Amino acid sequence: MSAAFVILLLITVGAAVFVVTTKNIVHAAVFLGFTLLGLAGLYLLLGAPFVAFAQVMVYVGAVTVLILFAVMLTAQRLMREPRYGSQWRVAAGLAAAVVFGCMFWVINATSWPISPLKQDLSNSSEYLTQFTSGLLGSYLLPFEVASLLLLVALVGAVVLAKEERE
Amino acid sequence: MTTTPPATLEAFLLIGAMLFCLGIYGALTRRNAVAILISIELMLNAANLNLVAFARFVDHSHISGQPFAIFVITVAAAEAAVGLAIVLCVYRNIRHINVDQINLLKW
Repeated sequence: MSAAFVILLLITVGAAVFVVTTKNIVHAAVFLGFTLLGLAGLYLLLGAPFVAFAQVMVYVGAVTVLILFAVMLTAQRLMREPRYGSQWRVAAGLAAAVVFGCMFWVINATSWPISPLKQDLSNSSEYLTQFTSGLLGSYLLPFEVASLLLLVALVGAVVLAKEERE
Repeated sequence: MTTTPPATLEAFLLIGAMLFCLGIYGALTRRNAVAILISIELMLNAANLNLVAFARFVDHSHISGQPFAIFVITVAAAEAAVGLAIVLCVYRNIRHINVDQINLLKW
């Protein structure tokens, strides 16, 4: 394991722990930004620079800011949310731990068909060629459907959030 | 040019599993609808990390899983926009967004 991987792992998981445990929702949104940045770093390590930059632009740039706006617009009692009782939280923690245990077991028990990396494409112009020929070639239909989905979501969000006036 | 990977596939999958379970815990324990949406974003990102990791380690061309990750990011952005618009709509109507007290449809 390289040092960069360990640092990104600590940033990602550590910030995610704060996201779900902090009481202040503004803090949760900011820590979510750190988690997303750490994930972008992991994508870079995995040889996926395009995904990493899309992550930074869409998630860190847009979704986090959108969430912060929603928190501000629905602020109540200094943004502290009333929490469930400790019993409920222990039960939720148990449920999450059981799911994690199952996934841990499956990940370790499976022998993954790993194919060795012959060539690191992420630094060459070959990367974009292959990536876009996938995005606009094999996955052209999902690509067009995604554009339709974005249009519908845009119109839907405007209609839902618009103030109704008589 | 062969490159050594920064970590094993299992390490990346375990990070994904951890993020997903933290998302489950957050979605179950939060009452504020925006905080639940934040937890759902965590879970979506965990799935995304798995997709990119599989593309890097298992797929032969090492790239064809990445458009999937882009599609997940697209859908997550649309989900966040519509979800937060619904939250604003609920807030305008009943002045709070605690999901356990939104019971207009309960009888």
